[in-house]
Amino acid sequence: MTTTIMLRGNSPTAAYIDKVSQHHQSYFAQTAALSKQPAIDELIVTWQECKIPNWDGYNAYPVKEETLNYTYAFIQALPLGFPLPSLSAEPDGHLALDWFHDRYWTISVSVGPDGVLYYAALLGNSDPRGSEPFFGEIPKRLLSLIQEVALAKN
Amino acid sequence: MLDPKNIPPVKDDELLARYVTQKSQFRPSDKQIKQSLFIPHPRQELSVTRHLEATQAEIWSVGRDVSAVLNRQLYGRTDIRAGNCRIETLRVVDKPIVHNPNHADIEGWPTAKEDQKAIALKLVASASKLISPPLAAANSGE
Repeated sequence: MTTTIMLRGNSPTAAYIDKVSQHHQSYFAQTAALSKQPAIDELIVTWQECKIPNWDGYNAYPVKEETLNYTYAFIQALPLGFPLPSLSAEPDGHLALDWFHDRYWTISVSVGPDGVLYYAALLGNSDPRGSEPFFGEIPKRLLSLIQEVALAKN
Repeated sequence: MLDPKNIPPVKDDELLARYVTQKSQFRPSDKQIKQSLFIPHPRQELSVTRHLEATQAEIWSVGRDVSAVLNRQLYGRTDIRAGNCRIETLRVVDKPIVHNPNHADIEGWPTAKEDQKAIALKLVASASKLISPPLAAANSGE
């Protein structure tokens, strides 16, 4: 699985920053509190169960390796210490990442094989939704919505 | 179960069951159902079973039949009121099938993925948590 879909730039400085950033990420990822490993483990289990056609018995599309890679990169792109999502497969071959505070404060992001992110949220009475391309960094709008759900207080 | 020769239309106060045959369709920690259970594909309808005139044993029997046909484990079911399925363009229509006269479809799904997800989240908000089948509950000591 690839950790980065796209570098921040082509210059030597950009490459250096990217290398240092990845080194720091891998260091912090080894700590129990900041590790993204539980989500990665769930991702792999989910993919293995759903990588063949008709995995649900209702003619579901297989979850492709490209979708796995984009989802892996999405999880890696989450800020350190951010609450981790719960993973599931969808019958159209997408992988879904869900954050759940309660029934009325929740967000789900679907990752498709083409790297498009489809999202919908329930934030009390509002239900923002949309789609965004994924280029290796989580769009600010989406990050803000996830934060609103994941860090919501009762 | 309903008389196949006399199927009434679905009323808002009826309970509908949706069977859970994938481990990733609920969170084991609190049995919360995930929205992926309500995403329709490749059909543009979502299968449910009406509780109307069915005993609990019959509801579970249908679930076991469904999981056997799919060659999947039956983890349980979630129940939802038909009236709570009338979201945006959705409607619930009686669609009896062989061996399940209580079968119904949730129809009228939008085609845009983000709109489907928004509706699925609202269905989850109204649906029960995972209800384990009687034998599974007994085996796990619940």
